[in-house]
Amino acid sequence: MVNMEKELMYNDEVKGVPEFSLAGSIQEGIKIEIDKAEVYRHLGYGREQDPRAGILSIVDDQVCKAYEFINPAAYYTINPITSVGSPEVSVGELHFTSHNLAQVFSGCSQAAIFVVTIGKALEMEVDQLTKEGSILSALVLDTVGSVAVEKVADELESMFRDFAAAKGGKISWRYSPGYCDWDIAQQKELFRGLDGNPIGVNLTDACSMKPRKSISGIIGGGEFCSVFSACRSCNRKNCPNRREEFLAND
Amino acid sequence: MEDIIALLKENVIQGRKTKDDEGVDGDSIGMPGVIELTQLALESNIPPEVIIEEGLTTGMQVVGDKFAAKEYFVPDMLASAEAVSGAQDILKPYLEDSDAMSKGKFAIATVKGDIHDIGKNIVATLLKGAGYEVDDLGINIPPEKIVEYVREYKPDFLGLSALLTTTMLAMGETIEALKENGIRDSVKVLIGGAAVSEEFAQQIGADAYCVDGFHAIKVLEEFQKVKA
Ligand code: B12
Ligand code: SF4
Repeated sequence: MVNMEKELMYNDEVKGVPEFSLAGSIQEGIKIEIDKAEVYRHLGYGREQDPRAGILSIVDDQVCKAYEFINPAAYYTINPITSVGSPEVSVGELHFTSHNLAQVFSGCSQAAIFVVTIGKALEMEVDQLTKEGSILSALVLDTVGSVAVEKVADELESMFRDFAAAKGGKISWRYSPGYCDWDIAQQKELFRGLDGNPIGVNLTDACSMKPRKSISGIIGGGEFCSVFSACRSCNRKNCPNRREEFLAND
Repeated sequence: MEDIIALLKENVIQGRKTKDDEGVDGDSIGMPGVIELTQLALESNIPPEVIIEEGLTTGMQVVGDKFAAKEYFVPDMLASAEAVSGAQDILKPYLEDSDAMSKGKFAIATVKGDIHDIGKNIVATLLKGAGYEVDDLGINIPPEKIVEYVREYKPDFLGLSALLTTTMLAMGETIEALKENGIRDSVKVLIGGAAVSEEFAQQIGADAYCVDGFHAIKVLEEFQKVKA
């Protein structure tokens, strides 16, 4: 998807700076659209089973309203991958421990460390609805927020894909502390790589991000990078999140 | 009178709190909802106990069955629970002995370090709809606060919620603090949230792990049976 506004924005960011050594803060111009089918799935409905009429209209209302409360922002730094052992991985000055991360990085030479958020306006509205006793509307709006921030991360990812493609390279899987064998406590190390991120995402002592609707992570890039799914070689046989294409006996 | 009660039950199943709600099936806008019907029932001198037992509770049982049959999902049952919980607020002052109608006092909190709200709120609403007296202590609640609360208000059940593997550790700390203060046995502890599991519950000495709110209702019923 080529979006003029986005292109302009990237060019602004990139102007005069060698692409793969930059740190970027994007606080305007990220346009997202909320996929209602994603909202239904997050609310627990199956793929084949849309909500009934009364719930559909609540989703419609909250999606419509959500746009007012969503302020997408992203911040990233791009760093060289300095060593990939397994499980020890170094990115610039940062040291991480995860077998999966090592796998994700195979063939990559650079890594973007990022954080994205939709800001705190949406969760303030969720809190307000909760106070008023509208728990269902609060749940739906909260869920819309989750879908929205995932979309923001998708947008950033596609920006990196474009960056890489422009140099004849590729990007890896997107991966985040807290998933699979990457300890969520390493959020602290990851945030060190985002020093003083200007988009206002804070990490609590317990490694929770504020605003709640935020995602942090890494994306590798390079000439020989492949889209590796950690699930393929992971030995957590009964993991409920295993990607379908890599079933346990695969 | 039967008509009002039947309508009440039907509207609980439809999750219609007020006349402005569409209901799960989306076709009854403008008709009286659970709140209006509850008022009407009171005006018609139907005893509040009957309103609760035959209208609200039986309605919620059907909702529970539909949920178990995967015909209803979390939002559907939440609509019903919200309606019932509104009706209970209206009825409370009319009950001669409100304790006798309550299935027990359930306190719920998101533990220290965790700011996740929505899962806890769903469980709280659902348990209230199922007839428990629910006290929501809030998010990021340290063990000391919980100990203080349990000592003073003596809830029958304590629910702890945590989203992350870092914050779930505070559940163990909370249980330890209850032990140290000699009040662990005064309350049944239930835990839930994305990162926790049955094994974790056993490890920290909680009384039960619950996947969701309906699971909690089942677990609580089991506890009641054992007590009786
Ligand atoms: C939606 C979601 C998000 C959203 C929104 C998060 C938010 N805080 O609002 C977004 C995309 C922003 C997100 C981000 C992250 N996420 Co996330 N996310 C989820 C997901 C898919 C659902 C969570 C949710 O909101 N569910 C809906 C609510 C209603 O359900 P619930 O809270 O679980 O409550 C229900 C039950 O658990 C139960 N229950 C809950 N509490 C209690 C208490 C009692 C007493 C009882 C009886 C029952 C009960 O009843 C509730 C109602 O049914 C889970 C995976 C999963 N399937 O659960 C991962 C998950 C929580 N995320 C995870 C991770 C790692 C992250 C990130 C750290 C990734 C990153 N590095 O960016 C960030 C952290 C965000 C932050 N603020 O710090 C991991 C956490 C693992 C860990 N190590 O702790 C999970 C478990 C995914 C996984 N399988 O690994 N996430
Ligand atoms: S199987 Fe599960 S734990 Fe293993 S890599 Fe895939 S999602 Fe992660």
